[in-house]
Amino acid sequence: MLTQLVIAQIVNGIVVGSMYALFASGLTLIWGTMKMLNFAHGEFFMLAGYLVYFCYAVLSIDPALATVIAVVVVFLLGVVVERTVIHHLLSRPVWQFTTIIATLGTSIILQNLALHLWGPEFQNVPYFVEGMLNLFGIRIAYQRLLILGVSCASIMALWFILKHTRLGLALRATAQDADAAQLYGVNILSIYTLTFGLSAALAALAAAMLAPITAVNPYMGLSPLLKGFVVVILGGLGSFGGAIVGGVLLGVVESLGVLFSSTEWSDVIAFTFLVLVIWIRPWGLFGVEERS
Amino acid sequence: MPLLSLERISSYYGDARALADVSLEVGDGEIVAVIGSNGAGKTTMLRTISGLIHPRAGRICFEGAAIERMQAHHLIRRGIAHVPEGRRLFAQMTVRENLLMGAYGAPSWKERAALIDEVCALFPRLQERIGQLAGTLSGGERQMLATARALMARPRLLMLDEPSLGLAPKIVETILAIIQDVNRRGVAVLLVEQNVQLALKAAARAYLLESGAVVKSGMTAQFLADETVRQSYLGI
Repeated sequence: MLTQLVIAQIVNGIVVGSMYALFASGLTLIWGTMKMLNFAHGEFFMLAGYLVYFCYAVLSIDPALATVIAVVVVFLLGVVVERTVIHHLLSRPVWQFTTIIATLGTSIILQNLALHLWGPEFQNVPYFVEGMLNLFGIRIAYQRLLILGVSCASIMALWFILKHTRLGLALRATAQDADAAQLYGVNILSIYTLTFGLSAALAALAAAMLAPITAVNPYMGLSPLLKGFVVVILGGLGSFGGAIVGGVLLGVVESLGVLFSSTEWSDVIAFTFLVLVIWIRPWGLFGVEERS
Repeated sequence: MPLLSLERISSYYGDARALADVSLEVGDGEIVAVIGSNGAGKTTMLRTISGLIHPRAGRICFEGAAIERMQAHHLIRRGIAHVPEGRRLFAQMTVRENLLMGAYGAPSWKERAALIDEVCALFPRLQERIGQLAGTLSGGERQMLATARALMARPRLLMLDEPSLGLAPKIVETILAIIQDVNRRGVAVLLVEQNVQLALKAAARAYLLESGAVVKSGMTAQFLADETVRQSYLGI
Protein backbone atom coordinates (compact mmCIF):
# COMPACT_ATOMS: atom_id res chain seq x y z
CA MET A 1 0.00 0.00 0.00
CA LEU A 2 2.78 2.38 0.91
CA THR A 3 4.72 1.64 -2.29
CA GLN A 4 1.59 2.36 -4.32
CA LEU A 5 1.16 5.63 -2.50
CA VAL A 6 4.78 6.54 -3.10
CA ILE A 7 4.52 5.69 -6.80
CA ALA A 8 1.29 7.66 -7.11
CA GLN A 9 2.97 10.66 -5.47
CA ILE A 10 6.00 10.37 -7.75
CA VAL A 11 3.71 10.34 -10.79
CA ASN A 12 1.86 13.36 -9.41
CA GLY A 13 5.18 15.07 -8.78
CA ILE A 14 6.29 14.48 -12.35
CA VAL A 15 3.00 15.90 -13.66
CA VAL A 16 3.16 19.05 -11.54
CA GLY A 17 6.91 19.27 -12.11
CA SER A 18 6.46 19.18 -15.86
CA MET A 19 4.32 22.31 -15.50
CA TYR A 20 6.97 23.95 -13.32
CA ALA A 21 9.40 23.07 -16.10
CA LEU A 22 7.24 24.70 -18.75
CA PHE A 23 6.69 27.81 -16.67
CA ALA A 24 10.35 28.05 -15.65
CA SER A 25 11.70 27.51 -19.16
CA GLY A 26 9.99 30.80 -20.06
CA LEU A 27 11.80 32.55 -17.22
CA THR A 28 15.11 30.97 -18.10
CA LEU A 29 14.69 31.87 -21.77
CA ILE A 30 14.34 35.54 -20.81
CA TRP A 31 17.23 35.40 -18.37
CA GLY A 32 19.42 33.58 -20.91
CA THR A 33 18.83 35.94 -23.83
CA MET A 34 18.03 39.27 -22.20
CA LYS A 35 19.85 38.81 -18.87
CA MET A 36 16.84 40.21 -17.05
CA LEU A 37 14.31 38.91 -14.53
CA ASN A 38 10.64 39.05 -15.45
CA PHE A 39 8.42 39.55 -12.42
CA ALA A 40 5.31 39.77 -14.59
CA HIS A 41 5.68 36.15 -15.71
CA GLY A 42 3.12 35.02 -13.11
CA GLU A 43 0.57 37.52 -14.44
CA PHE A 44 0.88 36.15 -17.98
CA PHE A 45 0.09 32.82 -16.32
CA MET A 46 -2.88 34.32 -14.48
CA LEU A 47 -4.33 36.05 -17.58
CA ALA A 48 -4.10 32.81 -19.55
CA GLY A 49 -5.97 31.11 -16.71
CA TYR A 50 -8.80 33.64 -17.04
CA LEU A 51 -8.83 33.33 -20.83
CA VAL A 52 -9.30 29.58 -20.51
CA TYR A 53 -11.95 30.12 -17.86
CA PHE A 54 -13.94 32.51 -20.04
CA CYS A 55 -13.50 30.59 -23.28
CA TYR A 56 -14.03 27.09 -21.92
CA ALA A 57 -16.03 27.33 -18.66
CA VAL A 58 -18.22 30.32 -19.62
CA LEU A 59 -18.49 30.25 -23.42
CA SER A 60 -18.10 26.44 -23.72
CA ILE A 61 -15.51 26.65 -26.47
CA ASP A 62 -13.62 23.40 -27.10
CA PRO A 63 -10.79 23.14 -24.50
CA ALA A 64 -8.09 22.63 -27.15
CA LEU A 65 -9.22 25.75 -28.98
CA ALA A 66 -9.51 27.64 -25.67
CA THR A 67 -5.90 26.72 -24.92
CA VAL A 68 -4.75 27.90 -28.34
CA ILE A 69 -6.62 31.20 -27.87
CA ALA A 70 -5.04 31.72 -24.45
CA VAL A 71 -1.53 30.96 -25.73
CA VAL A 72 -1.83 33.19 -28.79
CA VAL A 73 -3.41 36.13 -26.94
CA VAL A 74 -0.82 35.98 -24.14
CA PHE A 75 2.00 35.68 -26.69
CA LEU A 76 0.77 38.91 -28.29
CA LEU A 77 0.39 40.52 -24.89
CA GLY A 78 4.00 39.56 -24.13
CA VAL A 79 5.12 41.19 -27.36
CA VAL A 80 3.17 44.35 -26.54
CA VAL A 81 4.56 44.54 -22.99
CA GLU A 82 8.12 44.09 -24.27
CA ARG A 83 7.66 46.76 -26.97
CA THR A 84 6.04 49.31 -24.68
CA VAL A 85 7.54 48.71 -21.22
CA ILE A 86 10.89 46.91 -21.63
CA HIS A 87 12.26 47.73 -25.08
CA HIS A 88 13.43 51.29 -24.56
CA LEU A 89 14.98 50.44 -21.16
CA LEU A 90 17.32 47.80 -22.55
CA SER A 91 19.59 50.20 -24.40
CA ARG A 92 19.95 52.57 -21.44
CA PRO A 93 22.26 52.46 -18.43
CA VAL A 94 21.26 50.46 -15.31
CA TRP A 95 18.70 48.49 -17.33
CA GLN A 96 19.37 45.56 -14.98
CA PHE A 97 17.46 47.47 -12.28
CA THR A 98 14.97 49.45 -14.33
CA THR A 99 13.66 46.27 -15.97
CA ILE A 100 13.08 44.69 -12.56
CA ILE A 101 11.01 47.69 -11.45
CA ALA A 102 9.21 47.83 -14.79
CA THR A 103 8.20 44.16 -14.74
CA LEU A 104 7.25 44.39 -11.07
CA GLY A 105 5.05 47.39 -11.94
CA THR A 106 3.50 45.50 -14.84
CA SER A 107 2.76 42.63 -12.48
CA ILE A 108 1.01 44.90 -9.97
CA ILE A 109 -1.02 46.63 -12.69
CA LEU A 110 -2.18 43.39 -14.31
CA GLN A 111 -3.00 41.79 -10.95
CA ASN A 112 -5.12 44.74 -9.83
CA LEU A 113 -6.74 45.00 -13.22
CA ALA A 114 -7.85 41.38 -12.89
CA LEU A 115 -9.03 42.01 -9.34
CA HIS A 116 -11.03 45.03 -10.47
CA LEU A 117 -12.57 43.34 -13.51
CA TRP A 118 -13.24 39.85 -12.22
CA GLY A 119 -13.18 40.07 -8.41
CA PRO A 120 -11.20 38.05 -5.87
CA GLU A 121 -13.28 34.85 -6.11
CA PHE A 122 -11.85 31.54 -7.18
CA GLN A 123 -13.35 30.45 -10.51
CA ASN A 124 -13.49 26.75 -11.17
CA VAL A 125 -12.63 25.33 -14.55
CA PRO A 126 -13.91 21.82 -15.32
CA TYR A 127 -11.46 19.09 -16.32
CA PHE A 128 -10.74 18.96 -20.05
CA VAL A 129 -11.12 15.18 -19.91
CA GLU A 130 -13.04 13.24 -17.29
CA GLY A 131 -12.15 9.92 -15.77
CA MET A 132 -9.27 8.09 -14.18
CA LEU A 133 -6.76 5.62 -15.42
CA ASN A 134 -6.42 2.64 -13.09
CA LEU A 135 -3.02 1.04 -13.45
CA PHE A 136 -2.23 -1.76 -10.96
CA GLY A 137 -4.18 0.03 -8.29
CA ILE A 138 -2.61 3.43 -8.99
CA ARG A 139 -5.26 5.90 -10.06
CA ILE A 140 -4.31 8.85 -12.23
CA ALA A 141 -6.79 11.38 -13.61
CA TYR A 142 -6.74 11.64 -17.40
CA GLN A 143 -6.39 15.39 -16.99
CA ARG A 144 -2.99 14.81 -15.37
CA LEU A 145 -1.90 12.48 -18.16
CA LEU A 146 -2.98 15.14 -20.62
CA ILE A 147 -0.83 17.67 -18.79
CA LEU A 148 2.15 15.34 -18.98
CA GLY A 149 1.63 14.71 -22.69
CA VAL A 150 1.24 18.40 -23.53
CA SER A 151 4.31 19.42 -21.56
CA CYS A 152 6.46 16.67 -23.09
CA ALA A 153 5.33 17.66 -26.58
CA SER A 154 5.91 21.37 -26.05
CA ILE A 155 9.31 20.86 -24.42
CA MET A 156 10.37 18.75 -27.39
CA ALA A 157 9.01 21.34 -29.81
CA LEU A 158 10.90 24.08 -28.00
CA TRP A 159 14.08 22.02 -27.98
CA PHE A 160 13.72 21.46 -31.71
CA ILE A 161 13.23 25.18 -32.36
CA LEU A 162 16.29 26.08 -30.28
CA LYS A 163 18.48 23.41 -31.81
CA HIS A 164 17.43 23.16 -35.42
CA THR A 165 15.92 26.37 -36.70
CA ARG A 166 17.46 29.63 -37.82
CA LEU A 167 15.47 31.46 -35.15
CA GLY A 168 16.76 29.09 -32.45
CA LEU A 169 20.31 29.60 -33.65
CA ALA A 170 19.86 33.36 -33.44
CA LEU A 171 18.32 33.06 -29.99
CA ARG A 172 21.17 30.99 -28.62
CA ALA A 173 23.78 33.17 -30.28
CA THR A 174 22.21 36.29 -28.76
CA ALA A 175 22.18 34.58 -25.36
CA GLN A 176 25.87 33.74 -25.56
CA ASP A 177 27.22 36.97 -27.03
CA ALA A 178 24.82 39.69 -28.11
CA ASP A 179 27.54 41.83 -29.74
CA ALA A 180 28.84 38.97 -31.85
CA ALA A 181 25.30 37.95 -32.82
CA GLN A 182 24.67 41.51 -34.02
CA LEU A 183 27.91 41.53 -36.01
CA TYR A 184 26.71 38.47 -37.92
CA GLY A 185 23.32 39.86 -38.84
CA VAL A 186 20.99 39.16 -35.92
CA ASN A 187 18.64 42.00 -35.11
CA ILE A 188 18.89 41.45 -31.36
CA LEU A 189 16.10 43.88 -30.48
CA SER A 190 13.55 41.85 -32.42
CA ILE A 191 14.99 38.68 -30.90
CA TYR A 192 14.32 40.20 -27.47
CA THR A 193 10.70 40.95 -28.40
CA LEU A 194 10.19 37.46 -29.72
CA THR A 195 11.83 35.86 -26.69
CA PHE A 196 9.51 37.78 -24.40
CA GLY A 197 6.44 36.72 -26.37
CA LEU A 198 7.58 33.09 -26.50
CA SER A 199 8.25 33.10 -22.78
CA ALA A 200 4.78 34.50 -22.06
CA ALA A 201 3.26 31.84 -24.33
CA LEU A 202 4.96 29.09 -22.29
CA ALA A 203 3.49 30.50 -19.08
CA ALA A 204 0.10 30.62 -20.81
CA LEU A 205 0.29 26.99 -21.86
CA ALA A 206 1.13 25.92 -18.32
CA ALA A 207 -1.78 27.98 -16.99
CA ALA A 208 -4.25 26.53 -19.48
CA MET A 209 -3.28 23.00 -18.45
CA LEU A 210 -3.31 23.71 -14.70
CA ALA A 211 -6.47 25.84 -14.55
CA PRO A 212 -8.79 22.84 -14.02
CA ILE A 213 -6.60 21.63 -11.14
CA THR A 214 -5.83 24.85 -9.28
CA ALA A 215 -8.82 27.13 -10.12
CA VAL A 216 -8.45 30.71 -11.36
CA ASN A 217 -8.03 33.92 -9.35
CA PRO A 218 -6.10 37.21 -9.62
CA TYR A 219 -3.26 36.03 -7.34
CA MET A 220 -2.72 32.63 -8.94
CA GLY A 221 0.52 33.81 -10.57
CA LEU A 222 2.45 34.43 -7.38
CA SER A 223 3.10 30.85 -6.30
CA PRO A 224 4.29 29.64 -9.73
CA LEU A 225 6.54 32.71 -9.99
CA LEU A 226 8.30 31.84 -6.75
CA LYS A 227 8.52 28.18 -7.73
CA GLY A 228 9.69 29.24 -11.18
CA PHE A 229 12.60 31.19 -9.73
CA VAL A 230 13.45 28.21 -7.50
CA VAL A 231 13.50 25.95 -10.56
CA VAL A 232 15.57 28.37 -12.62
CA ILE A 233 18.17 28.74 -9.89
CA LEU A 234 18.08 25.01 -9.17
CA GLY A 235 18.74 24.14 -12.80
CA GLY A 236 21.28 26.88 -13.39
CA LEU A 237 20.30 30.35 -14.61
CA GLY A 238 19.73 30.46 -18.34
CA SER A 239 19.98 26.70 -18.85
CA PHE A 240 17.02 25.25 -20.76
CA GLY A 241 17.81 21.64 -19.85
CA GLY A 242 18.35 22.74 -16.27
CA ALA A 243 14.86 24.27 -16.11
CA ILE A 244 13.30 21.01 -17.34
CA VAL A 245 15.20 18.73 -14.96
CA GLY A 246 14.91 21.25 -12.11
CA GLY A 247 11.16 21.57 -12.63
CA VAL A 248 10.47 17.84 -12.59
CA LEU A 249 12.85 17.32 -9.66
CA LEU A 250 11.15 20.03 -7.63
CA GLY A 251 7.73 18.56 -8.40
CA VAL A 252 8.79 15.11 -7.23
CA VAL A 253 10.60 16.33 -4.10
CA GLU A 254 7.55 18.39 -3.15
CA SER A 255 4.99 15.65 -3.58
CA LEU A 256 7.13 13.09 -1.78
CA GLY A 257 7.68 15.61 1.01
CA VAL A 258 3.93 16.07 1.35
CA LEU A 259 3.66 12.34 1.96
CA PHE A 260 5.67 12.70 5.15
CA SER A 261 4.27 16.03 6.31
CA SER A 262 1.30 17.99 4.96
CA THR A 263 0.42 20.19 2.00
CA GLU A 264 1.13 23.45 3.84
CA TRP A 265 4.76 22.38 4.07
CA SER A 266 5.29 22.06 0.32
CA ASP A 267 6.77 25.57 -0.03
CA VAL A 268 9.05 24.96 2.93
CA ILE A 269 10.23 21.74 1.33
CA ALA A 270 10.79 23.47 -2.03
CA PHE A 271 12.91 26.25 -0.56
CA THR A 272 14.84 23.93 1.78
CA PHE A 273 15.69 21.81 -1.24
CA LEU A 274 16.84 24.92 -3.10
CA VAL A 275 19.02 26.05 -0.22
CA LEU A 276 20.61 22.61 0.02
CA VAL A 277 21.35 22.47 -3.69
CA ILE A 278 22.87 25.93 -3.95
CA TRP A 279 24.90 25.23 -0.84
CA ILE A 280 26.64 22.42 -2.70
CA ARG A 281 26.47 23.82 -6.24
CA PRO A 282 25.99 27.61 -6.12
CA TRP A 283 25.78 27.72 -9.93
CA GLY A 284 22.86 25.24 -10.00
CA LEU A 285 22.63 21.72 -11.36
CA PHE A 286 23.31 22.56 -15.00
CA GLY A 287 24.78 26.04 -14.75
CA VAL A 288 28.41 26.79 -15.42
CA GLU A 289 30.58 27.99 -12.60
CA GLU A 290 31.56 31.58 -13.23
CA ARG A 291 35.11 32.55 -12.46
CA SER A 292 35.99 36.16 -12.02
CA MET B 1 36.72 55.59 -55.15
CA PRO B 2 37.99 53.63 -52.14
CA LEU B 3 35.98 50.68 -50.81
CA LEU B 4 35.85 52.17 -47.32
CA SER B 5 36.58 55.69 -46.21
CA LEU B 6 36.41 57.35 -42.82
CA GLU B 7 36.24 61.14 -42.86
CA ARG B 8 37.04 62.95 -39.63
CA ILE B 9 35.38 60.38 -37.38
CA SER B 10 34.98 61.12 -33.66
CA SER B 11 33.62 58.43 -31.33
CA TYR B 12 32.93 58.57 -27.62
CA TYR B 13 32.44 56.17 -24.75
CA GLY B 14 30.14 58.21 -22.54
CA ASP B 15 31.98 61.50 -22.27
CA ALA B 16 35.40 60.09 -23.03
CA ARG B 17 36.55 60.69 -26.59
CA ALA B 18 38.07 57.51 -27.98
CA LEU B 19 38.54 58.63 -31.60
CA ALA B 20 39.44 62.16 -32.65
CA ASP B 21 39.02 63.24 -36.28
CA VAL B 22 40.17 59.94 -37.69
CA SER B 23 40.37 59.72 -41.46
CA LEU B 24 41.30 56.49 -43.19
CA GLU B 25 40.83 54.68 -46.49
CA VAL B 26 40.82 51.07 -47.57
CA GLY B 27 40.99 50.42 -51.31
CA ASP B 28 39.35 47.51 -53.09
CA GLY B 29 41.38 44.33 -52.52
CA GLU B 30 43.92 46.07 -50.31
CA ILE B 31 45.41 45.01 -46.97
CA VAL B 32 45.64 47.96 -44.61
CA ALA B 33 47.13 47.75 -41.13
CA VAL B 34 46.28 49.92 -38.15
CA ILE B 35 48.90 49.85 -35.43
CA GLY B 36 49.22 51.55 -32.09
CA SER B 37 49.58 50.77 -28.43
CA ASN B 38 46.90 49.54 -26.06
CA GLY B 39 44.10 52.09 -25.68
CA ALA B 40 45.01 54.02 -28.81
CA GLY B 41 41.49 53.58 -30.19
CA LYS B 42 42.05 50.73 -32.65
CA THR B 43 39.21 48.54 -31.36
CA THR B 44 36.88 51.55 -31.08
CA MET B 45 37.61 52.32 -34.71
CA LEU B 46 36.53 48.85 -35.84
CA ARG B 47 33.46 48.93 -33.60
CA THR B 48 32.50 52.27 -35.12
CA ILE B 49 32.89 50.98 -38.68
CA SER B 50 30.84 47.85 -38.02
CA GLY B 51 28.02 49.83 -36.42
CA LEU B 52 28.29 48.58 -32.84
CA ILE B 53 28.84 52.19 -31.80
CA HIS B 54 27.89 55.28 -33.73
CA PRO B 55 30.27 58.20 -34.25
CA ARG B 56 29.33 61.61 -32.87
CA ALA B 57 30.86 63.35 -35.85
CA GLY B 58 32.20 62.49 -39.29
CA ARG B 59 31.24 60.28 -42.21
CA ILE B 60 31.88 56.65 -43.06
CA CYS B 61 31.39 55.57 -46.66
CA PHE B 62 31.31 52.00 -47.88
CA GLU B 63 31.02 51.40 -51.62
CA GLY B 64 29.90 55.00 -51.94
CA ALA B 65 27.06 54.85 -49.40
CA ALA B 66 27.05 56.65 -46.04
CA ILE B 67 26.90 53.97 -43.35
CA GLU B 68 27.73 55.75 -40.10
CA ARG B 69 24.10 55.62 -38.87
CA MET B 70 23.46 51.99 -39.82
CA GLN B 71 23.02 49.13 -37.36
CA ALA B 72 25.58 46.33 -37.16
CA HIS B 73 23.15 43.66 -38.35
CA HIS B 74 22.59 45.54 -41.61
CA LEU B 75 26.26 46.18 -42.28
CA ILE B 76 27.21 42.51 -42.40
CA ARG B 77 24.75 42.11 -45.29
CA ARG B 78 26.43 44.99 -47.11
CA GLY B 79 29.74 43.15 -46.95
CA ILE B 80 31.56 44.30 -43.82
CA ALA B 81 32.61 41.38 -41.62
CA HIS B 82 34.23 42.11 -38.28
CA VAL B 83 36.19 39.52 -36.31
CA PRO B 84 36.15 41.16 -32.90
CA GLU B 85 38.87 41.31 -30.30
CA GLY B 86 39.05 38.02 -28.41
CA ARG B 87 37.33 36.19 -31.34
CA ARG B 88 33.97 36.19 -29.54
CA LEU B 89 32.97 32.73 -30.71
CA PHE B 90 29.71 31.21 -29.54
CA ALA B 91 31.46 28.90 -27.08
CA GLN B 92 28.45 26.72 -26.27
CA MET B 93 27.68 26.13 -29.94
CA THR B 94 29.40 23.68 -32.28
CA VAL B 95 31.89 24.67 -34.97
CA ARG B 96 29.18 24.03 -37.54
CA GLU B 97 26.67 26.24 -35.72
CA ASN B 98 29.23 29.01 -35.41
CA LEU B 99 29.79 28.84 -39.15
CA LEU B 100 26.02 28.85 -39.76
CA MET B 101 25.79 32.05 -37.71
CA GLY B 102 28.32 33.63 -40.08
CA ALA B 103 25.90 32.99 -42.93
CA TYR B 104 22.85 34.06 -40.93
CA GLY B 105 21.83 36.42 -43.74
CA ALA B 106 22.04 33.72 -46.44
CA PRO B 107 18.63 32.97 -47.95
CA SER B 108 18.47 29.17 -47.49
CA TRP B 109 19.86 26.19 -45.56
CA LYS B 110 21.11 24.80 -48.87
CA GLU B 111 23.13 27.92 -49.49
CA ARG B 112 24.47 27.91 -45.93
CA ALA B 113 25.55 24.27 -46.29
CA ALA B 114 27.33 25.08 -49.57
CA LEU B 115 29.15 27.98 -47.88
CA ILE B 116 30.28 25.66 -45.07
CA ASP B 117 31.83 23.29 -47.61
CA GLU B 118 33.53 26.20 -49.32
CA VAL B 119 34.98 27.61 -46.11
CA CYS B 120 36.03 24.20 -44.78
CA ALA B 121 38.06 23.71 -47.94
CA LEU B 122 40.11 26.71 -46.78
CA PHE B 123 40.35 25.41 -43.21
CA PRO B 124 40.53 21.59 -43.29
CA ARG B 125 41.15 21.58 -39.54
CA LEU B 126 37.64 22.97 -38.97
CA GLN B 127 36.16 20.15 -41.03
CA GLU B 128 37.72 17.70 -38.56
CA ARG B 129 36.25 19.59 -35.61
CA ILE B 130 32.87 20.36 -37.19
CA GLY B 131 30.73 18.76 -34.44
CA GLN B 132 32.84 19.95 -31.52
CA LEU B 133 31.86 22.83 -29.23
CA ALA B 134 33.73 26.01 -30.12
CA GLY B 135 34.75 26.41 -26.47
CA THR B 136 36.86 23.25 -26.67
CA LEU B 137 39.07 24.42 -29.56
CA SER B 138 42.71 25.44 -29.21
CA GLY B 139 43.73 29.09 -29.61
CA GLY B 140 44.81 28.71 -33.22
CA GLU B 141 41.67 26.79 -34.13
CA ARG B 142 39.56 29.47 -32.52
CA GLN B 143 41.14 32.16 -34.65
CA MET B 144 40.59 29.98 -37.71
CA LEU B 145 36.94 29.50 -36.79
CA ALA B 146 36.45 33.21 -36.12
CA THR B 147 37.94 34.04 -39.52
CA ALA B 148 35.96 31.29 -41.24
CA ARG B 149 32.74 32.49 -39.60
CA ALA B 150 33.37 35.95 -41.00
CA LEU B 151 34.06 34.56 -44.47
CA MET B 152 30.72 32.71 -44.40
CA ALA B 153 29.13 36.12 -44.91
CA ARG B 154 31.04 36.54 -48.23
CA PRO B 155 32.38 39.95 -47.19
CA ARG B 156 33.98 42.57 -49.40
CA LEU B 157 35.87 43.87 -46.38
CA LEU B 158 37.24 41.71 -43.57
CA MET B 159 38.19 43.50 -40.35
CA LEU B 160 40.42 41.59 -37.95
CA ASP B 161 41.03 42.79 -34.41
CA GLU B 162 44.27 41.40 -32.96
CA PRO B 163 44.18 38.03 -34.73
CA SER B 164 47.62 37.09 -33.34
CA LEU B 165 46.74 37.73 -29.71
CA GLY B 166 47.75 34.87 -27.44
CA LEU B 167 48.96 32.64 -30.28
CA ALA B 168 52.31 30.86 -30.63
CA PRO B 169 54.63 32.33 -33.32
CA LYS B 170 54.17 29.32 -35.56
CA ILE B 171 50.40 29.69 -35.51
CA VAL B 172 50.74 33.42 -36.13
CA GLU B 173 52.53 32.48 -39.37
CA THR B 174 49.57 30.30 -40.35
CA ILE B 175 47.13 33.11 -39.60
CA LEU B 176 49.22 35.49 -41.71
CA ALA B 177 49.13 33.03 -44.60
CA ILE B 178 45.35 32.75 -44.25
CA ILE B 179 44.91 36.52 -44.30
CA GLN B 180 46.98 36.79 -47.47
CA ASP B 181 45.10 33.88 -49.04
CA VAL B 182 41.74 35.48 -48.28
CA ASN B 183 43.00 38.74 -49.71
CA ARG B 184 44.09 37.09 -52.94
CA ARG B 185 40.47 36.04 -53.39
CA GLY B 186 39.55 39.68 -53.66
CA VAL B 187 38.59 40.50 -50.07
CA ALA B 188 39.97 43.75 -48.70
CA VAL B 189 41.44 43.43 -45.20
CA LEU B 190 41.62 45.97 -42.41
CA LEU B 191 44.04 44.54 -39.87
CA VAL B 192 44.38 45.89 -36.35
CA GLU B 193 47.42 44.60 -34.55
CA GLN B 194 49.66 45.19 -31.58
CA ASN B 195 52.10 42.82 -33.20
CA VAL B 196 53.51 45.56 -35.41
CA GLN B 197 55.99 43.33 -37.15
CA LEU B 198 53.22 41.00 -38.31
CA ALA B 199 50.97 43.87 -39.36
CA LEU B 200 53.64 45.61 -41.41
CA LYS B 201 54.61 42.33 -43.03
CA ALA B 202 51.05 41.55 -44.12
CA ALA B 203 49.89 45.00 -45.24
CA ALA B 204 50.81 47.31 -48.06
CA ARG B 205 49.76 50.48 -46.24
CA ALA B 206 49.46 51.33 -42.58
CA TYR B 207 48.11 53.91 -40.14
CA LEU B 208 49.53 54.65 -36.72
CA LEU B 209 47.01 55.60 -34.02
CA GLU B 210 47.99 57.39 -30.83
CA SER B 211 45.42 58.52 -28.23
CA GLY B 212 42.58 58.22 -30.73
CA ALA B 213 44.21 60.18 -33.55
CA VAL B 214 46.07 59.19 -36.71
CA VAL B 215 49.64 60.40 -36.26
CA LYS B 216 51.23 58.73 -39.25
CA SER B 217 50.10 56.99 -42.41
CA GLY B 218 51.75 55.67 -45.54
CA MET B 219 53.31 52.65 -47.21
CA THR B 220 54.55 49.99 -44.80
CA ALA B 221 58.08 50.42 -46.19
CA GLN B 222 58.07 54.00 -44.87
CA PHE B 223 57.00 52.72 -41.44
CA LEU B 224 59.79 50.18 -41.38
CA ALA B 225 62.28 52.90 -42.23
CA ASP B 226 60.95 55.37 -39.68
CA GLU B 227 63.22 55.77 -36.67
CA THR B 228 60.48 56.51 -34.06
CA VAL B 229 58.31 53.62 -35.27
CA ARG B 230 61.31 51.30 -35.12
CA GLN B 231 62.12 52.41 -31.60
CA SER B 232 58.67 52.63 -30.04
CA TYR B 233 56.87 49.80 -31.80
CA LEU B 234 59.41 47.39 -33.20
CA GLY B 235 62.02 47.65 -30.49
CA ILE B 236 64.92 47.81 -32.93
